[in-house]
Amino acid sequence: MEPALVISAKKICKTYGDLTVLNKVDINIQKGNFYALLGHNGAGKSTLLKILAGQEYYNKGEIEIFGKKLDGHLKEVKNLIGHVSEQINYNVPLSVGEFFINYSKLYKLWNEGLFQDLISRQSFDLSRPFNEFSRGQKMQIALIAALAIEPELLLVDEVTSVFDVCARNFYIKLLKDFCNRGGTVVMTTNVIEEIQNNATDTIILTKGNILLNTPSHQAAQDLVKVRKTKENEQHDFFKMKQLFWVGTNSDFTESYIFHKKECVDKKEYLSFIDAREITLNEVFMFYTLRQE
Amino acid sequence: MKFEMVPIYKMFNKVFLQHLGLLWSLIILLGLIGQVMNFTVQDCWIYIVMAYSFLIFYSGLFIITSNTANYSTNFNWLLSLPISRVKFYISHVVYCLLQLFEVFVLSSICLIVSLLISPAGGFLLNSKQHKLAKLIMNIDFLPELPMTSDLLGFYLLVILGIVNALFILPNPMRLTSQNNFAIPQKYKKYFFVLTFFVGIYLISGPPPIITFSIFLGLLAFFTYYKLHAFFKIKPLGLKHVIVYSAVLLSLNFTILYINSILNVNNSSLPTDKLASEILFLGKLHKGVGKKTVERVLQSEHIMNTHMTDIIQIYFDNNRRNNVLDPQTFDVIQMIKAKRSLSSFYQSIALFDRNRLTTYQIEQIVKIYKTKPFFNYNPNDTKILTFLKRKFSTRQLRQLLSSSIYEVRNEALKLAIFTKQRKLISEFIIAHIHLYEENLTQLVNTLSFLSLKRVTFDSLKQANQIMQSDFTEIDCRQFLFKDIQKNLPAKLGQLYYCNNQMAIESKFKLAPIMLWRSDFIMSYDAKIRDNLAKVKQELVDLKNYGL
Repeated sequence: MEPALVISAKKICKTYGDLTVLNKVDINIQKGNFYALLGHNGAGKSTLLKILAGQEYYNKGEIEIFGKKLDGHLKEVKNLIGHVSEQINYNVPLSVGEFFINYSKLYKLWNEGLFQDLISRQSFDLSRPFNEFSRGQKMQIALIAALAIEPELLLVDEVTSVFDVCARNFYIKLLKDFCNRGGTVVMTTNVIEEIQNNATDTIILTKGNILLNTPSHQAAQDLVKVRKTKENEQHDFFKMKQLFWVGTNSDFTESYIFHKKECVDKKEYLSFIDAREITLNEVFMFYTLRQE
Repeated sequence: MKFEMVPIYKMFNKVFLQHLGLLWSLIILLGLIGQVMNFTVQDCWIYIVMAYSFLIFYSGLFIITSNTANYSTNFNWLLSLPISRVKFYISHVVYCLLQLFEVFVLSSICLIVSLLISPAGGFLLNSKQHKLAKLIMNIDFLPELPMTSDLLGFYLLVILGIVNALFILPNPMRLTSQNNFAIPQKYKKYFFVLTFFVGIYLISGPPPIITFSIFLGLLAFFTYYKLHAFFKIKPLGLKHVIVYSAVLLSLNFTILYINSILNVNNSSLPTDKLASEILFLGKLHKGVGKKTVERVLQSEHIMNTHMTDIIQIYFDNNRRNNVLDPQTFDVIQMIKAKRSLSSFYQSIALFDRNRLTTYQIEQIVKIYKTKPFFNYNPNDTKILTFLKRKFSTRQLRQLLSSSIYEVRNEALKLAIFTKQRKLISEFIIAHIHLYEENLTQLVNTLSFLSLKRVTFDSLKQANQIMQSDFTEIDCRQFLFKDIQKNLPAKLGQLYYCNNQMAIESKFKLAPIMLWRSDFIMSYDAKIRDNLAKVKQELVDLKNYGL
């Protein structure tokens, strides 16, 4: 049976004046998965999430969320989507408790128990006003609120990069549990390590185009990592244009990645293969560098 | 801890109190600065008034900016809430209305505080605030409100509101980057400059129809962008902008027009309102216009056969009455019978004003300025511009030489605002005795305007003031007829004494007028440089204890 589609977007275009941010982006998001949306700065990740959250309009294309067209069902759809962005700035002259009492009335499925539970686990004082909280704390509260609306889709935009390590692990686990309960997460981040073993799917967006949309465990299956050492550095193989540097290792050797299909002679590289696993970071670097 | 729903008024109160606190701090700060200046430089109360008036004029800008800045930082999450965009739009409109209310209340508080310090601050009130201040403070020393002051406050508020809405409130379709505002930010400065000049023009008192058109134009522009921002997805081209603006503008006119038609038979409507509608409508709808004019005139008991003829010519023969035609009713006789300002204007509008003779203009101005029931305002420059769009230099010169004092003054104001500087110089030299008298008594603030203008204009040629030594001048002995002999050489002295008298005067409104004239005139680039030099020189002179 085909897994249910949460989002089906076709040929989405978004421009700001002369600047094209999204260029005919096709994207399908399946229910229950944890998507890592990766891309360099300015690639269009936040814009894509804003469009999916109904915050921003797109110039062309079609978007269906939960089988309904976004254009005509914005209000219904918003009830099912939680959106947390690092750009969100709660600037209200209210205490957190007062604010969320008002906020919760707008959502049909608001889970007060979950909200109170998470807030107390993180020891936030609800009687304090928003401006007394740090940016990271505000983001944590926003993420808790987004979970408490019992969404089916959670869009998380760069939020975890402002969290401390403990908070990051705590919330990543929360998001994974949310997916295990049938929810769907699309998360953008520049700290790729944090989702290395958590994201079920990886999407790479570069210059407004989707380069890769695949299950994370398959993201590296067509790629080969080789290691350049002092002994083999003069070999002609390392002069190949299709080879992309992805990092220097602790033993001062350098790792390169290439696509299997782009190297004809398999025998040529067998002796240089780096046996270590290709990380998501390296996959991201390979695709974005190759695109450039 | 148990939390309860926070009603909207409570949220508004919180925002209001925040702003009140900020504004109050600014008042105290400015007050302290003023007091320090007063103590160190002495007799420097004008700076306090200037500081307060600055705060008053810009408090609207400050509050709206602060509010909309708050609003736009909250825009992202507001838009992600599951509420329809229509509701969002409505809430936004309500929010804007509350802001206007807040601006009004807070600026009133500032004004009342400034009034407590100096009654001269009353000059800066708008009419509603004026009434409010009188009511709250139960005082009778407030100066009468000039019309220009009211307009100044009103237009500043309107313009600032519109400009803020256009530039600070982001377009919710495209929120976060530089390009996301309804108007690209790169054009912001040009629009600010444009609105500043429009504001200056409005303050100078243009004909009502121009004021009204500018206001409607801004309103249409503002409405268009609001609608576009909330209901349109794709950016629209220039032709759409033109079409939408035209539609909205037509809609505004239609509403006004329908309103006028409906009001014709509304017996409870005051006649001055009817008369102003006639001014607007003109011959747009003969039946309505004619009927309204007749009703206004009947209510003033001046409807007779002559009047019927005039109205007949105006509405049915499709031409304005020739003021020189001996067959028509005498325009002077007609306006003499007028009992309200609007019916006065409306009666003149029945005639072809461009054919008015100098004698007729003199008489009309005299009637206008001497009728006790017209809200006489020494700064009102409307009457001459209403009577004639453009005066020839010859006719203006005739008016400047008029034997009627009010006419000379009006002509001088017109010469100042239309920049006929040569005439001002001529006039000052020719009527130096009049100026000497006026300046000595410091009753005619207009003299300051004209003399300052002449001084500034000539300064750029002579650059006298920077080189002159004023220490030996006794301004009390300085006779203005002296300058007739050698005007360029004496300009520095003239300016120095002019300001010295203003500063020493106990007539506290004069410095306000002086400052306001700076404000009005400083848009002239040629004058601005000299103005800065003169101001610096004045400060230096004061520092030397002069």
